[in-house]
Amino acid sequence: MREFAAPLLSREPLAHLASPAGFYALAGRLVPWFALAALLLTMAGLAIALVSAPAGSLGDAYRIVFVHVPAAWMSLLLYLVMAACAALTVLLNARLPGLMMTALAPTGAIFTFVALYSGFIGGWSTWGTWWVWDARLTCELILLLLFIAVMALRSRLEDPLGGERAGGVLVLVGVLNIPIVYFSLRWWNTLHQGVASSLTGSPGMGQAMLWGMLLMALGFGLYSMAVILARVRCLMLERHGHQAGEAAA
Amino acid sequence: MNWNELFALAAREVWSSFAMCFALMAAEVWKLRRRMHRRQSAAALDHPAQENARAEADKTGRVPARANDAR
Repeated sequence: MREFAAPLLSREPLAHLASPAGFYALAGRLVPWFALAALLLTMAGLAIALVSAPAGSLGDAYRIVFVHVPAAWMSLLLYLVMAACAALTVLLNARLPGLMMTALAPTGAIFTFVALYSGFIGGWSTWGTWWVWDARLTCELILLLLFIAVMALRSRLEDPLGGERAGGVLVLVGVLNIPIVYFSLRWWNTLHQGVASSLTGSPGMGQAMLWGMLLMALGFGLYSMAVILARVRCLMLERHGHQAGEAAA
Repeated sequence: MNWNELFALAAREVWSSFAMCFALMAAEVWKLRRRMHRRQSAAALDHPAQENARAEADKTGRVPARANDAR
């Protein structure tokens, strides 16, 4: 009770929002707005992806990029945010970033899986095979395994704070994988096509593709924020029971 | 049906990627909502002012669905 109630007495608004109780209340207010914005932006992105964007030389198969590319962007972005939270958890022993890190992992795993799955389907259409041990594909698979490892560490260790610190160390080591994923197309010859070629491959398609992918990425980003904030609230309740809700009320 | 046939089928049906993506997202939201509801109910029962609800839960062996509303 005291650990949640004390920050509420502070007159500094930022200190209040950074406290678990202030964050619990703020997150509860933000989640519906993020969810609504995510729904609208994703619907707009889908309309462009499935209706407005003209068919390319690959036929309708190229429309997979409207899911594949934003999901891959989100997987990298979520991992970077998770790494920042991990650094704060490991170095400063902060509680809230530890919860954020735990909450980020399942959503990151979902987007990484979607990027890989849509890559399998796109690879079958364009390369004739669903998997090759290509640098980018392999690094993305390692990214998925890292997300799963963080989730497993958190759930297997009985002490949640110990689990978060152990997961944080793993995330910080795994951050080396991110530049490899991003620069793999420049560093190695791979089957995976570059971003520039997919945006300008067919005349007149670039703008529609770009807007479609940006809207989908924004929608996925807002969805991630909504889900992650909701999961942090859940973790707070699990850890502190009624004290979280009571102090935030 | 082997893996190759399965992927050939999925590649013919482009919407399967979209469906997979949104099905996973919806499943995540559904699971999270259930988890949150369960935790809120348990947290409400944990509250000292919820002796009646807690006694009811002990007697019936189940958590009241809207226990948190009693507050």
